[in-house]
Amino acid sequence: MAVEWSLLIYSVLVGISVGPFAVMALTGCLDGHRKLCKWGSLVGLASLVLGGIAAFTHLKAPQYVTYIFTNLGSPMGLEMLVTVFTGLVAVLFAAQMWFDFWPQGRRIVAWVGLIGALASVLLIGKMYMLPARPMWNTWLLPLTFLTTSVVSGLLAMLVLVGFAPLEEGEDRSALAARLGTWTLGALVVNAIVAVLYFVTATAQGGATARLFTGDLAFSFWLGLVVLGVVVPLVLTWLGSRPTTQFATARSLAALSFIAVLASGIAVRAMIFGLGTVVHILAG
Amino acid sequence: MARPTLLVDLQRCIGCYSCVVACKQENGLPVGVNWIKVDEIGPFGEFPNVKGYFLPHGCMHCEDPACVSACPTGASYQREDGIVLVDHDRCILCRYCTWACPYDARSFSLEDKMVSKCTMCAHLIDAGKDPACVQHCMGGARFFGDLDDPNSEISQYLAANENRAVKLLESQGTNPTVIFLEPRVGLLADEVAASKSSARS
Repeated sequence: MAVEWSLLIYSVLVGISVGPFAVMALTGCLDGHRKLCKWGSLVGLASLVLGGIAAFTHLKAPQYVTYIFTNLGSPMGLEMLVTVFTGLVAVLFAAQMWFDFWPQGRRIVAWVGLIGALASVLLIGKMYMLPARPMWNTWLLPLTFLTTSVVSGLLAMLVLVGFAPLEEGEDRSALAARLGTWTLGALVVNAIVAVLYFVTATAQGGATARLFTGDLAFSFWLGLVVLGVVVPLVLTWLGSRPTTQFATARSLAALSFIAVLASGIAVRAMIFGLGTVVHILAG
Repeated sequence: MARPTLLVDLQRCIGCYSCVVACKQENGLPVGVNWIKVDEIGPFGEFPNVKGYFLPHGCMHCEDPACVSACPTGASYQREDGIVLVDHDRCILCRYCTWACPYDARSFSLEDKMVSKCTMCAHLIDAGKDPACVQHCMGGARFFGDLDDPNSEISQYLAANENRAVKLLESQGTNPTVIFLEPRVGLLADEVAASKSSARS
């Protein structure tokens, strides 16, 4: 089936929001890296808002959107609701960071945002699990959305750690090293999950040849394997070595982030390509 | 409660596309939108004993429609008599229903800003008439009526040809209501075996 670009961009952008919330909930940066967190809150908010706008452009009659409250059992209705909720949490968090609103609740809101962002990404993926589309109908698909999102989100934060304005006397090398290690781990998990999804789904749908040598081969080998696995793994590893200078490391992180973004687009485009229905005579 | 049901005898279908044209005309469908699609199945066998048949299909008005449970706004809904319809004043045109339907029965027209599908000509049924495709079927292949009424034409025709009755893609679990009569007993089962691995986009 044809690629729905607005939905593709939506899922990539919402995925990035996982990174800022994860870093701010799971590390101590809220206490020690104030400026970084301020910009991080904006990255989370911007990715959700821009993603929301992209999703909105997919709807060709958005004037009836309030009716989603009438069928929240629908995967799409639930996903829209959770993403909107996460967007509101991101607004609150940005207000906390920039206007000192309810400062004692920052950590809690960061955690709620992280859970919301992860849930949004999983629900976006789960939406595709339809019996009518056999190559989508596996839990590996939402897991692929999740792992690609975690990778792109962490790399976005790694880039921010490198480029966001520093406070006086601030040293971010420890945080960068920690994020680099997390990103390497996430990249390995993502490589396993994504490759497993594509290989098993196409095998089950009798479309393995499409993946390795057919119409999806370019996206699979270049988009997933090279840009999504090999390039970011090598660059992130090089950047996280103790001997690498901070300026070099942040450039490597930026390149790695661009590669992962391109891979995220390729992966999702491939998923749309696999959205074929079963043959009407297939039993 | 009556159970309006459509039955198609594939042995009688001559592939004239009258149902497609009648449907388009009755429902004022724009260019590019067809609520009935006709697949040409076959040919099978070897020359000179080659055979094939036509498979006109559209919305199956399932008892458990995947489109209705998928629809985030409740725009896709099921009437009390089982007919599945779309309320265009609630539809946000997300097209999720077009993904959820295993029969590829829904059409999306960006020009007309509409997702649409066979309504079983509910407006005609409510006026006591048959759907347009049934009225105009040249081969007399299409039957419509109340399956709960044992004296209805459709019930009696089905009873006489029960051995040829099949429903499509029952494995999807949506319980389709449209009934097809195979051109010969077991032909669709053979086709199922032959097409297990094939898929269409």
